[in-house]
Amino acid sequence: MKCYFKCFLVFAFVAFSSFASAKKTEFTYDDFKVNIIAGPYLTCVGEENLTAVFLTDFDAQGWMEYAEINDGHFYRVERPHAYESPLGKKLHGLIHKVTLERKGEKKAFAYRVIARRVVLIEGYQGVHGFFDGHKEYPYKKRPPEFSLFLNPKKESVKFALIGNLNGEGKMAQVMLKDEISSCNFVFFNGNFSKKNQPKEEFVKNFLKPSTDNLRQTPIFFSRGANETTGWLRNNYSSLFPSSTGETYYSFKTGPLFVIVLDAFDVPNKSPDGIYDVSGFLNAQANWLSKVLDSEEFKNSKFKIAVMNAAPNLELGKIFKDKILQKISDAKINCLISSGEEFSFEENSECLPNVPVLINAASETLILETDAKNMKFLFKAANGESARENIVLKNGASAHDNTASLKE
Amino acid sequence: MKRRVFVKNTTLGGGAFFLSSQISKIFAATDLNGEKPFSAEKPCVMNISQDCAWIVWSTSENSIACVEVSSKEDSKFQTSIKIFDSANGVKVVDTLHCVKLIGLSSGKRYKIRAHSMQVLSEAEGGALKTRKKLVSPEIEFAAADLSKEKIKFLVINDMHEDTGKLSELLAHSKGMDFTLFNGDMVNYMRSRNQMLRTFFTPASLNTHAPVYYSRGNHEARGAYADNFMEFSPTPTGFPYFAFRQGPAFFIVLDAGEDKPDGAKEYFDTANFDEFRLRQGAWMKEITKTDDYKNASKRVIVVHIPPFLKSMNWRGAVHFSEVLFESMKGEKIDLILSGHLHRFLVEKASPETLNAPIAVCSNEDAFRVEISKDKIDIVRVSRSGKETPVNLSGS
Repeated sequence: MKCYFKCFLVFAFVAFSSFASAKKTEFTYDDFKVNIIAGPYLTCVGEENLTAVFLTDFDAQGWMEYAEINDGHFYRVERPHAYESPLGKKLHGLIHKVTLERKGEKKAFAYRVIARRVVLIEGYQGVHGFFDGHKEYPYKKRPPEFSLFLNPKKESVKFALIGNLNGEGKMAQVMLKDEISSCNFVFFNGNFSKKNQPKEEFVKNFLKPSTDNLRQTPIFFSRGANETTGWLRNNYSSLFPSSTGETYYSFKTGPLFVIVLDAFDVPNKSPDGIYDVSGFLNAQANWLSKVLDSEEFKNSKFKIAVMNAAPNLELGKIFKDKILQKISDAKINCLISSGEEFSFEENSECLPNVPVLINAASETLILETDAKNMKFLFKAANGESARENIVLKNGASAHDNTASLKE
Repeated sequence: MKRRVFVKNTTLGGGAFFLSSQISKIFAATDLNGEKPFSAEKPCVMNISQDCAWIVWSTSENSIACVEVSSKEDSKFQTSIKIFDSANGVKVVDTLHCVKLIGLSSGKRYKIRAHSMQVLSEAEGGALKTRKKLVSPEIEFAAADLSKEKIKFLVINDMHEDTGKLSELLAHSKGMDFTLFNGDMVNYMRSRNQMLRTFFTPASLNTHAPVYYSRGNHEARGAYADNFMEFSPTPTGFPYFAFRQGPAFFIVLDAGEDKPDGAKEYFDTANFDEFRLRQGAWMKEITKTDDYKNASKRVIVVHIPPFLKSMNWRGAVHFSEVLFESMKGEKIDLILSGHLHRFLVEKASPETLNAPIAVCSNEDAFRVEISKDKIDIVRVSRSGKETPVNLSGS
């Protein structure tokens, strides 16, 4: 009996020691730290709102602090905070989308984003850790009257467009470096990721390097076929929100009306697969009808559509009949796509009445427009002009647009 | 010898115990074919307007889902269309499904069937391996009819996970145009399964009418509270929204939490002041719409009653200020609230936007009838006893 009791005591001691040693008794700095691993970049920009997106390596609460231009040093006073709290509670996670809404006169402002680690949270109760944030992003490289928000009354607009980068974020840096200070915004026209790209690779190789120099330049995005695969398939809208909540949207800035389309050129078009091709394209077609019928569209001096895929018959009957047909009937000034090589066709089979410009992946397209002219410039990666400019005149009604003059 | 027997018996006994526990787990998880049982709950028709509605339901396993919709006259769904639960064109693989039906015609009757297909795996390129398609029974509903001269609806609030009480009160939703859940239907939103078990599934099963769901302060609490919109999708994407039914325009609002944002209970996660101010700006826009202007009666629905002197915590006070500032000068006919766990009527006064405030208790429901000339409210108990409500407060 004594022997059995001793065995039991030995067993109990061993079990208890194992349990005690497995339990954590000390916290280290690593348990509380957080890093902003990409961003912030500004997107989903409207007349009175814009969204700053940034990513952290651990669960965190994120916000933006902002200061008006000419209001002294950023640290002069406590600056207002904008949080991501759509339902009244501050959200936490790995992807942060903080929307700033401002009415009234808007000029350049300085801002910064902050992340605070969420160590443990259960409903309201939680334990928070350390912070990470950058120095504020100033307006110093911009003239004082520069506004990050869209302004339909601007007299002229200039933006840069690149596409089909296939995950080369550093290439985006090179292609945009000369344009940032003079452009109102930039456009990443789809296929900026690789196909089936995992998160870590996409963030490290594309998202961070491509947006590092764009803190004070809004970015618009269109979805290409590559972005319908991999990690981005289910996270696209979190990283690249839009005014519609969809991958198709529109906006007006100055004399220019921009329609962003999504051809949804997915790898598996079977109705039994993961993609709801007909549902998505039909919904886009319904949305497009309303946009083309709006006063804002009709009254704009210049109207363009932007999408990654070049319009062709392989995009399917629904896209051709219900979307491209509407674009053709609306006789917009130009449809801009991205491809391996440049081409410009004024009257294609897929899109009669509308010039189609396919921008080469190795070139930056600069579009400058005022009330009278819309000019396309093409720059090679070394900054030199890659080809003749194209000018579309008389943008008041596209069907008068019979001559595209090459300068 | 005895020691050896002891060790041998202990080892054999312990091993047998461990093995049996693993075997029982395997049988609990699978049916005789080696696969988990797959089931789908009854779909709930929610937040109907004159041109759209949401269908929400849950499944036991991850699945893709669609709603087949047709007009009431199409008895065999021959001219039906199927709308998938998808996001940005990608079908949602999940256990809770939410399909938005758009393009409805005001007043037209429709019928739907919900299809759920269990997803076992996905191959590269997006090919799905699925099994077992479940189709729900037909459900009929009508898009909101603006020409209807009278509407009647049931209001239930503050059930706090009492599913028995909820089911009894929902028996009175027969013949109603809709049922309105006015907040605090649960104590906390702890998880999706808890929400389904303690409120949503019993509500879907027992309601006889489409549902509107406004958020109470308790739905803002718990680890799953950030996911409230899964259970109440709205045209605005927020817990505040508006809709028109018959002669009445409803503005559903959300007063948020009851304490100041900096209260220690919120651990610096609350930002309800900003949320309420945003709501105020939205309210001003709503008053410019034709549906609002042309409505004969206007009803504000909010869980926490505004303007009551007894409600002097920050949430109620700030919300009252925002509401008054946004809606002063507007003709409001009724404010429907809950929260107090007792019945109350506050008569109309300039301080209440000249609208009576009717607070439903947590034991009864309100049956509300609205025509272009009048509003009648009857308190209905669980047993069905009816007591008319005098909105003049006497």
